[in-house]
Amino acid sequence: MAIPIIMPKFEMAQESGTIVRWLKQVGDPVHKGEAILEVETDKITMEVESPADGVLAQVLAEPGARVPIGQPIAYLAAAGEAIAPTPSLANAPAERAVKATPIAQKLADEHGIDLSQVPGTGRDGQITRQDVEAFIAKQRSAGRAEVSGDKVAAVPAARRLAGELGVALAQVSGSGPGGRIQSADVARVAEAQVAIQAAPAPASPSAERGPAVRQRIPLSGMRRTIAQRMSQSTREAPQFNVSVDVDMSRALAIVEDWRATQAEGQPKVTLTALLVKACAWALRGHPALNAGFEDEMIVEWSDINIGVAVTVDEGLIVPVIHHADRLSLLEVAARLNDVAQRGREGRLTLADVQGGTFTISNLGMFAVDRFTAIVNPPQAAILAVGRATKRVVPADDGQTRIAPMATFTVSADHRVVDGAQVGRFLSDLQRGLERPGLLL
Amino acid sequence: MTTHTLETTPPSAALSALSPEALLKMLYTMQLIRAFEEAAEQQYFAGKVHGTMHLYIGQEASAVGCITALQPGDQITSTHRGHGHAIAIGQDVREMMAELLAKRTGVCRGFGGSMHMADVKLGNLGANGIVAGGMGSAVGAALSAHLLKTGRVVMCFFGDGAVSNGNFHETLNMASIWKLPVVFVCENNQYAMSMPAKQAIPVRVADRAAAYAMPGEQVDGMDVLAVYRAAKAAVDRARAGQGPSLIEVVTYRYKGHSRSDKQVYRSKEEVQAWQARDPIARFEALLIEHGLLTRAQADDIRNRAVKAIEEAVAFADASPEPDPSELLNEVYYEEPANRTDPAMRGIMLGSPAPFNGRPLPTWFTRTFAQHAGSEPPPGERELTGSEAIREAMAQAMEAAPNVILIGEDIGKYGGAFGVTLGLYDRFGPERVRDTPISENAIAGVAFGAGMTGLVPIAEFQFQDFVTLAMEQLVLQAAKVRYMFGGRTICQMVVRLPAGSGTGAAAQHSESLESWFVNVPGLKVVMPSTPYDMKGLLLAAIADQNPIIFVENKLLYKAKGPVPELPYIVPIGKAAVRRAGQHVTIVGAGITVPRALEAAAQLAGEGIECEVIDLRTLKPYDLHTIVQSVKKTGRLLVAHEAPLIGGYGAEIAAAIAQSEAFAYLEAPILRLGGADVPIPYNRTLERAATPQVEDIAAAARKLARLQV
Repeated sequence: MAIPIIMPKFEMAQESGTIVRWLKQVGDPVHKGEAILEVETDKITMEVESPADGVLAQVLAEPGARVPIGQPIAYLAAAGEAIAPTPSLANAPAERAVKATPIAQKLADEHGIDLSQVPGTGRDGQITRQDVEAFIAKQRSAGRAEVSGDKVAAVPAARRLAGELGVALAQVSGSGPGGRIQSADVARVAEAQVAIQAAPAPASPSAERGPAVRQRIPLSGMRRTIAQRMSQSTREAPQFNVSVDVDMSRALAIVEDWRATQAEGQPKVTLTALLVKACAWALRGHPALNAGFEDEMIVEWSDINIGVAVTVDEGLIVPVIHHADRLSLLEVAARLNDVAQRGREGRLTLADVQGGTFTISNLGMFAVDRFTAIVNPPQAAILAVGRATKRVVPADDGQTRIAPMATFTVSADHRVVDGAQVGRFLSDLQRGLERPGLLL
Repeated sequence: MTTHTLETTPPSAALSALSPEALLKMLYTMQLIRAFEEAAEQQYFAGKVHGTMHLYIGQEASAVGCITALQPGDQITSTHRGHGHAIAIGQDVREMMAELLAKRTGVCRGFGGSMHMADVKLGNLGANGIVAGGMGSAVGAALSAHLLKTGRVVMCFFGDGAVSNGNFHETLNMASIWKLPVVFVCENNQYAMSMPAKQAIPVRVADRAAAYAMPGEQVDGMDVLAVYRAAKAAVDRARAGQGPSLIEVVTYRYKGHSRSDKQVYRSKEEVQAWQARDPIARFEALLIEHGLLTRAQADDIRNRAVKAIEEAVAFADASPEPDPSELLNEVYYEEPANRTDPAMRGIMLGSPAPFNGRPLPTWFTRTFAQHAGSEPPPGERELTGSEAIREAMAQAMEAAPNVILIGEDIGKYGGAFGVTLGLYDRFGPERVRDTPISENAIAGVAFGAGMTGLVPIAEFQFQDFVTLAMEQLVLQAAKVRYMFGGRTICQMVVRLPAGSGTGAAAQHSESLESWFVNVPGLKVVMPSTPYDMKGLLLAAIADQNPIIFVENKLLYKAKGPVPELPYIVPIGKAAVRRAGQHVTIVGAGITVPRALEAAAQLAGEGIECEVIDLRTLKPYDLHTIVQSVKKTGRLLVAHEAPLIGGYGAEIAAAIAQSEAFAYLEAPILRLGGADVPIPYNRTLERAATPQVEDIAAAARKLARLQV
């Protein structure tokens, strides 16, 4: 009677394991307790031991194959026994153990959807609520072109308008049936990117219950874009935050140097400009943070284009300083002043706001000590900077001293980077700002 | 059963009734025909003739004997085996040979070929590729002769194959009841194609005349003088107003039906027996016997004929072919002012230019001294749809004595829908002509009359019945101008009460207009308002092409303002009935008022529809639709006719291919009838075609981008 070797479970939340390599070949004798193969879980690699004496009679999965827990991956036979071959797992269609989040399950049940038809994008192929929703939308608009590869479902009017306005259709989310892009969607993106004013709606009579309403403002233009993108970011990117307190004395001194010697016509060098330079320097050493998440893949960019969040009347825009690593501090400052000014006047172009790889948000001027920002999709990380305030810090001689300290918080997309990577980046950034000679 | 026979003169009298010159001319003409056909056969064997041909060799006495009895100005219609008739009536053999070789100098400019040779000026109203196809037009031409009092006689040639065809029966019947000056000549050459006449026809052909109360005579077709005698008697009878006759000319074709005929249906011996009675040899012998001809003169006549044909071949060989750029020329008669306007040539996918400043049709300005021009202000007076149509016809008939109406029950009865009420009293039975139930003949007579000086308006009682007239409309009227190289016009209007909703069920509720859109040579007009019914009917009458005028029955009672003076609405121009910026709805006929009602409903929901009334289905106004779709980005086309294969698909595709494509916000939607014969039950009948709520639902979905 053949003895199955099953894919074992090593961790609490583990659902499958991946074959790394077989330590025994078919036909080899095996003792009980002897290691037969190596498997990999999400976090670790483990050896699998034989449950009994015998001969390795059949191997069902090859290295690289991911097998659900409890499924046979090999068979042992008693010496001399032959076993009927079972179809190899590599050949048979993988019988996915359909795992779905509870809410996905509930949604699927409500709509009568067979979960085995739904592709899962969660961990280990788990089906999330978004997966079910996407599947439902796809069912509703069956036959319509879906977004796949470079093909985008957009009506002719939208394509024409996109061409005229220089909008990339891939950046437009469609409001038409099945997510089809209509010309209004293109117009909206173009509008948002150039910061058009949105008129507030007139105050309407208050609802029957709830607090009295001062005004109702429909989402349009920039506000709508911000709402949409920040929701998307929060929904799709699992974000975590890492903070470090930085001694800003030497950074502030540099800013002061420039201010004191500012010549006529020279751009004003702000702390933000210095932060841009410092980040650019640090990102060179940490390409994993100059990255993004697109089309289910991690994209590491070679250009370092740092966006800087700028507050305007209507809300928030993020002009980009392209190739910040190649610009001098003065050039960065000039560019920053230019886009900030134009941004406040509503005169930014599409090129000004496109192509960012990393974002800095500095709320130091608003008496904010620390805050966390939301990652700016498709980028992987954003830096939130609080104000520099004099704090009491330990000195080298065991005493204390007063130093201007600022809290830097990076929010990052865990699909792209891990805590350690962020920590190392922040560590370098801190070093660069505390010992700015390194930036030169 | 008594067999009427014609009074004929004895042989020697016939010889003296014709002058020697006339007799020799007959001999020469027979030789010319023989030489032409023999040369044509050689050309064919040499591979220079595209298609096929049907040779007349052996039958020369029939054409020459009959046509000699005619006078200049008389007309003939011919068959697919028509070279003999054409030569006998005097057509130029060089032009005929050039036509066989498809040259531009051909009698039809290379567009017609062997079976469609015509010379309307000389009186040949055309050979015909359809057996019995020329019989309707012969009766129509005779009707013209009768009403216009020209004193012409029309001689209608057809073969034994035709006498079992519906056209034969319908046209002999009609010519007889109307006592028209037609001489029906059946060239019985014993075989249709392979079907022996004896098997196809249970009586003598001549005996069929009795069924139509006309004299019938059978003559020896190999004796040219016998043929002449019988033909002359019939022609004289017709010209004296005594009505039509039928002559059966018993003859034989030595060659097969066409060049590809293996002649398995007859024996060589039979052919040789007939050849022994060759009409040319017999006539030569007779003339020589009576001292009117010597052998040498006979040979000289033969040689002259052969030489003339050799010259014809040389002429044809040296002639150029038509240029491919001429392909679209002369499908439609174009007003001189429009001839340089390429947008009016057939259907162009590029948007045609707007209509402003286009001159009025010359027939219209010539006929009406006092008229209101093109699309005048509607004024205050309201008429119903049928009143508007009636007024158009009455005003045309008042101003032009050659406008006539034919159809079933249009006279005293006033038409099945009352459209012609009062016209019989006003214009009399000659010009408001009730017909027997002979649809193909109605169409044929209209087409023949429209070619020969009348302007007939033919009413078919229901659009459904036009199916019985398809051959004469589609194969004859639509094509005659082009097949004849543009050397004729056919000015006629066919009026068709169409559509469902009256409980008349499947065979009285058709919407077939898209069939005619698909026939080159026809224009198709479909008004939706009383204003347009009068203006478009006057435009259709003035247009010197065959026009299909589709009237929706449910709109006969619709009321609307109609100017009092005659005016036209240009054919091929759409009308924007309602402006809007959210969705474009295109319709014609009954779907226009339904679309307007839907638009009124949707306006209450904040959706503004632009409703376009096509008015003409062919040629249609793509330009107006393009401008509208560029504005709204959404298009719905609604028609009553079945959706599948309907002209909504034509418009949708044309828009998708036009500059409006880049402005589309949503797929183009079409609404049309269900793929079902119209049911009798009222609810089912209603469900079979697009109603107001269907149009509203579709337009709403489009406007809200739910599709």
